[in-house]
Amino acid sequence: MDAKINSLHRTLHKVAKYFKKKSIQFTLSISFSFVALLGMVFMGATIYSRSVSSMKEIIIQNNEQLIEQVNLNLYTYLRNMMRISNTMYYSVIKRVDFSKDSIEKEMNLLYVINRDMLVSIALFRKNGSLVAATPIEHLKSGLNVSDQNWFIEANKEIENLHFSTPHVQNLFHDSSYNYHWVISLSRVVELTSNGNISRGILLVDMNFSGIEQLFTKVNSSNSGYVYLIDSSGEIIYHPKQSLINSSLLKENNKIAATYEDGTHEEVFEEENRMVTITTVGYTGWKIVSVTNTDDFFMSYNQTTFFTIIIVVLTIFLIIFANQFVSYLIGNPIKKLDDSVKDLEFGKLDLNIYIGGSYEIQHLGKTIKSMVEQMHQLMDEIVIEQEKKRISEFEALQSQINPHFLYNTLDSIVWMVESEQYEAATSMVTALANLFRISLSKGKNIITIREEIEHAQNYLYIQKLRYKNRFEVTIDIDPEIYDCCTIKLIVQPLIENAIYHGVEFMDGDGLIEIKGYVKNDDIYIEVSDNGLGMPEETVKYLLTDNNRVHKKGSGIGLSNVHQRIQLYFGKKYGLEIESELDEGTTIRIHLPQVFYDTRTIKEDATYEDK
Amino acid sequence: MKINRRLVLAILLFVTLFGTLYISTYLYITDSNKKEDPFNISVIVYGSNSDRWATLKQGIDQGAADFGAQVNFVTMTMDNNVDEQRKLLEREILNGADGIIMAATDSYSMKNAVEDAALTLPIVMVETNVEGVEGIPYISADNYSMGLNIGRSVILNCNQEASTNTDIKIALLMENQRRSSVYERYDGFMDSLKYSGFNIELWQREEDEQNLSLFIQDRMKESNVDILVALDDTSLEAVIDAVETNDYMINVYGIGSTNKIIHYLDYGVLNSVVYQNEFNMGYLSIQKFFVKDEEKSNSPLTEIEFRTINRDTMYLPKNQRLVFPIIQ
Repeated sequence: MDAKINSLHRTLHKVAKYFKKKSIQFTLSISFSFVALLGMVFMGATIYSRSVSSMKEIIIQNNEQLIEQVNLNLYTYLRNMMRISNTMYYSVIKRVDFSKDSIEKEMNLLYVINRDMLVSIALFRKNGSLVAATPIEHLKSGLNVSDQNWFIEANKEIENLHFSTPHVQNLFHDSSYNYHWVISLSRVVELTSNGNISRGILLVDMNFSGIEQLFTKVNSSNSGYVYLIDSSGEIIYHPKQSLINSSLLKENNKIAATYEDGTHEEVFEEENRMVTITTVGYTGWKIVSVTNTDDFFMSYNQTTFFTIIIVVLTIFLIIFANQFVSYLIGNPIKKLDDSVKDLEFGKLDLNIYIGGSYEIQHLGKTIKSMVEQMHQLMDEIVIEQEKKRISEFEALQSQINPHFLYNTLDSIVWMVESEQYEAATSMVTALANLFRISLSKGKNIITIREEIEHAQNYLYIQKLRYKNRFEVTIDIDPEIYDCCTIKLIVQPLIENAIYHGVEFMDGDGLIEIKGYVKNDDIYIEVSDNGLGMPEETVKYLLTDNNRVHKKGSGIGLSNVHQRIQLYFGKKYGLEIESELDEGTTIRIHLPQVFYDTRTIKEDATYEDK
Repeated sequence: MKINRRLVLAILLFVTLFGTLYISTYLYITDSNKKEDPFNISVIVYGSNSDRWATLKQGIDQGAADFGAQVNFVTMTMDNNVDEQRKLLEREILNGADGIIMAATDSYSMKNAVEDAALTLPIVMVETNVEGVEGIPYISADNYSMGLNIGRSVILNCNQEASTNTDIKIALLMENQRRSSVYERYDGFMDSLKYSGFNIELWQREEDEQNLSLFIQDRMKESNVDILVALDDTSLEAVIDAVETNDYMINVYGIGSTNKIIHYLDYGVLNSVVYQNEFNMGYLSIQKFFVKDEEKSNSPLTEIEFRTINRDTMYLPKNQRLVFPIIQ
């Protein structure tokens, strides 16, 4: 028991697990359809089985009612016959002395009254000779009445009335070619003649068509038929008697005679039939009602087929409706889910789905507003970060080292004092130019020409200050003059060359500035023949932000490197080659972009941001 | 909006499908319950006496009721007229008969007409076939054996009465010898008496000669025959008419099944009658149109039962049911 529950539990678990992996729409439609299907099938099966059994009951009931009706009619008919016979016997024959009186008048009267039912009434003596008869009195010639079956049967049981099976009357002379199928009611009677009592036979021949009529009525309906047999199973009436007589049709009459009253199921000639039997009073005859259940169920099967079609169509309809409903419910959820998935994958221009039932709409709206808020927050962070960076950057840019300014101004003062006015004027001009380019109206992107000019101004000042302790050569490919660069990138390199390279060279120092194009990129090299740097210094030169020369302009190499990469991408930046006692080359790598409105615009856009 | 339109379309499609299926199923079922147009069968028999075919007609009517056929029963105005029967056949086909049941009035002359008709519609021959046509269903008793049986009855009866066969004179009425049923019976009858030594006279009317009964009466006056044999209903009825008024006793044997024949058998005018089950003949002829032969027998012949009856045996239960059909 426990094992069973366990296995059931496991199965349920499996099913639940299976459905967990499926979409809501799928789960909904499958479960709805399954439940609908189960319901329809269960309903159909119940209705079918119930109606089959009730149909059978109805057939049996109908047959029994029908057969009872027939029985009643037949009984009445036979009773009428017996009444005629009784009247004839007790009211006429018993009261008459045949030696004196005749009974023809009474017999004729009785016949006329019951003419519809009767063919003839006749009274015979024990030896078969005719006493009286109506309506025809002449027997056929050469006829031996006592050989006839009704005569023999009547004599067998003196007390009883005897009903014969249908036969052709073979008694009276009839000049027409008519013949009569009759059922004979014969009985032994006592004839009184001169006080002597002798035996006679009273014969009432009933018209067979009377019985036929009783049955034709009930056999007019299509379902089944009713026939009549005697106690030995001989057919008295059958709707297709001619066919049976001609052996074109078979009937199960002999077996039917052995059945008890009631309903029986039998198989006859490969047909399933329901046979209802009732026995008729006085005669021992049996009324047999036959219903071919195959036929009946064939027409019933059509209805069943029709019902099944309807059920199947309804199932389809329900499945379709389920699909529709589950689509209505499931699809908005799926769409919302898809939107959320997109969100997960970081799709930016996201449009969260809003639709379906109001709960899902609400969910969608909430997610949408959340996403919007998130985006807004993210944008704000980015802008803030950028602003911060720019301000830092700008601060850096504006940090012209006070040492440098002080030293320069000091040099100018010294020049004025020593009356070198010309030099002082040039120096002031150079300093002014230096600041002008440095500011560049707030632009970040300038031409290389401007940048080199700025470097030259710087070099001019430094040369004056260092009293031409070093030489400078500038070799710029004119092609690149009009290309873009960010400002203040060459000057920090020169500063580095001066302080680390040539400061202590005593006139032998050489700074080379080269600008050229290689592989569609711009390279600007600043080389010195100074002391060079050890490898460790080179390593952190580009990463350490704090290494700003005290006496310099205040912009470190790392700052230059970062800015280039920030503007032009990771591919660009500074490259440093240094060898101790040989010198250092620092190379600026920039993309070749011509300075035009686009770049200004880009720049402006950047600044706008 | 787009989805909605698609949805509406799908629903519409489904409803249409559902409706069509429902309606077609309903129609299919009601259609299969509906009875087909009745199958019209024309029955063309020879002779002008419709009583002659009463039993056949009962069988045909029963068959028509059972199989749902509509029957038009046609008799001729003259006893034996090939042209009339041929015209009747053509008329019935023109009138839209779906099938023909036919008893040929002349097995030779009707051959072509029947052959032609058989090309356009199914034909079932009853009682009398046409000569030399193959493949047309034919329902009949074994006419040769019927003839044989009537001959045997004659022999049986004579053996009880007469001392030598040569004393006995038999007259055989040679009527309707162009009908297959009759000349086959003739063959059977003659074969049965081949070695009997009876003195057999063949009575044959000239064409357009007088009334058959009068002819018989005349011949009876001319030659005192002991036994008169007729091989078909009409001639047997004529024999009855001739013999009834006759002065001397004459034994009549014949083949036939009309009420008149039965009546006179009962009244002792006829000695023995060979009786064929014409009810079966009629019923089976209708059945032929509706029930295909389950066994593909090579012979198109369906044989029906016949019995030899006399006054003593006609009321036996097994005989009286055939001899006196219950009219239903």
